[in-house]
Amino acid sequence: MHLRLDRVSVTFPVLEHADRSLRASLFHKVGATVTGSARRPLINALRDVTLDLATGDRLAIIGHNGAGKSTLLKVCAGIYEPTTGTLARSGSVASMTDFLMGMDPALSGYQNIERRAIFMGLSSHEAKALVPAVEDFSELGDFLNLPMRTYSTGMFIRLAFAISTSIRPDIMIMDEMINAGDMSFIEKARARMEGLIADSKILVFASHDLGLLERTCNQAIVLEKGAIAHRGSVADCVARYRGVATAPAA
Amino acid sequence: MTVEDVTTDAGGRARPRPRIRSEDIRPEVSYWRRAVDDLAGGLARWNLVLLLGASDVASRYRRSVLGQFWLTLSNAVLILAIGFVWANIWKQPLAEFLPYLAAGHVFWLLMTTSLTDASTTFATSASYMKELNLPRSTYLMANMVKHLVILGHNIIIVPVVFLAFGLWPNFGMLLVIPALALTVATLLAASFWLGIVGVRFRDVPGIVGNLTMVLFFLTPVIWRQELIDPHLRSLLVFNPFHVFLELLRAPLLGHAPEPHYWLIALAIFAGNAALGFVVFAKWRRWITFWL
Repeated sequence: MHLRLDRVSVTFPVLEHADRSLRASLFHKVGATVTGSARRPLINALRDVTLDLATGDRLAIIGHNGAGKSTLLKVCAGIYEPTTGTLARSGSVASMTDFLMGMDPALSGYQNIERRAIFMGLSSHEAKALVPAVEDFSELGDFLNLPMRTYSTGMFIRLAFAISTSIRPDIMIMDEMINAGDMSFIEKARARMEGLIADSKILVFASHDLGLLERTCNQAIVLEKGAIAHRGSVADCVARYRGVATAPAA
Repeated sequence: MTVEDVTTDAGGRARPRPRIRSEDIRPEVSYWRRAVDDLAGGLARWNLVLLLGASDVASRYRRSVLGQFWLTLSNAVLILAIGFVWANIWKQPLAEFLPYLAAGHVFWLLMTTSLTDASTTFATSASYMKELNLPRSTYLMANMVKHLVILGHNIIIVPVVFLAFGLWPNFGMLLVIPALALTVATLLAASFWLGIVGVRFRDVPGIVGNLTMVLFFLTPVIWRQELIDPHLRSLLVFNPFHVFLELLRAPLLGHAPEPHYWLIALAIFAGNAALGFVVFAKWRRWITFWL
């Protein structure tokens, strides 16, 4: 298993260009840089990012909003291809960024288990085989026969969580920890998530919860304006990030 | 820390959590190779292609009594209405005109609506594309499945109309099968370039919608080519929609299409396949940035 980024840059074209000045000032505030022509501005979301992750690596990504965390996660997931530089990856990847993706509120809980599982890359047969385990973990009982639009938000998330975590990825990509349901379920969900993380070969985890990152990860990077500003142990990077965070704005 | 590498099923038996599949990414391959990998990945996820394609139709008509047979009913009414009016205008016997119109209209809908939707497929799938790393071809294949499902509902009209006017099935009609295969292949190939151009230039879906409306009047669907000036008729061969429509409709009406129409259709397929592959390979990686 490996996940390697070699001098990866991602530059987005902004195709609507009506409010260029507004857009430019907006991105100035949140941290990315804007270049390109006035007619077609470009956002430099990632700049020269190099990573070399192998089995056992748990990488924390630390940075302000707009520093490029989500873009980096999406490059790792294969959603964005690098504009320049290369990405090499082997092993199955699960992006734990949107648990609800593919679920249809008009369908029953049972139908959604299969549907969501197929979206995650399981065969129809494997998706069917997943049903008992999800039944068990979600504790939704007869509600699984009802359309999901009748569910409370908590129940909806609980089912989505149960399905999304019943698989076994080699590489886990996470954007913040998911909090699911009431107190008793939160504990159960936390245990399940920790099990999933322990079981995965590589973890890439972006979060603002620095304590959680320190507990979960064994290395870190700090992203600033799309580039790696610092790299090292999690404690090291957290200290560096806090230092930056408390420094007066230039 | 509890390591749950197994989950228990309802009977309390432990079963391993299934491994998910995702395509490895090799840094050294060319974009041509990536496009081939994408196509292979899309085909490998045929269950998702079918799911996406079929659920789109199903969700639109959920909780209605007739369900997706609203498609069948509304097109049947449309065909009857157009048929009665235009049979009178052209002074054609209804028994000839209505089967001609029914067969032509359902295939016309397949061609034009699948292409119109292809030009917006990536834009309407944006929420999926921004979160999931699926082969990009999945969405285009799903669009084709969706329109085949719709055809499956509309096509019911044809045998009903045929039988109502005493046209019985014969072996010659089987020629519609290769014609449909070639048509679907061509539509899918065209959707690869149309989909990418449509997501990059958002005026394209509007242009496509407008063009198909104009082409409806320039293609013999509600009129017969025998009724127009022979010089104009000779120009029809340059209308790709007419070529495919003839291949699909003629066998159903009991006469074989002109042989050179097959060659023209094959050439149109080859052209679209080549263009579709080149455009897809070159700009595939940009789709998610253009959403």
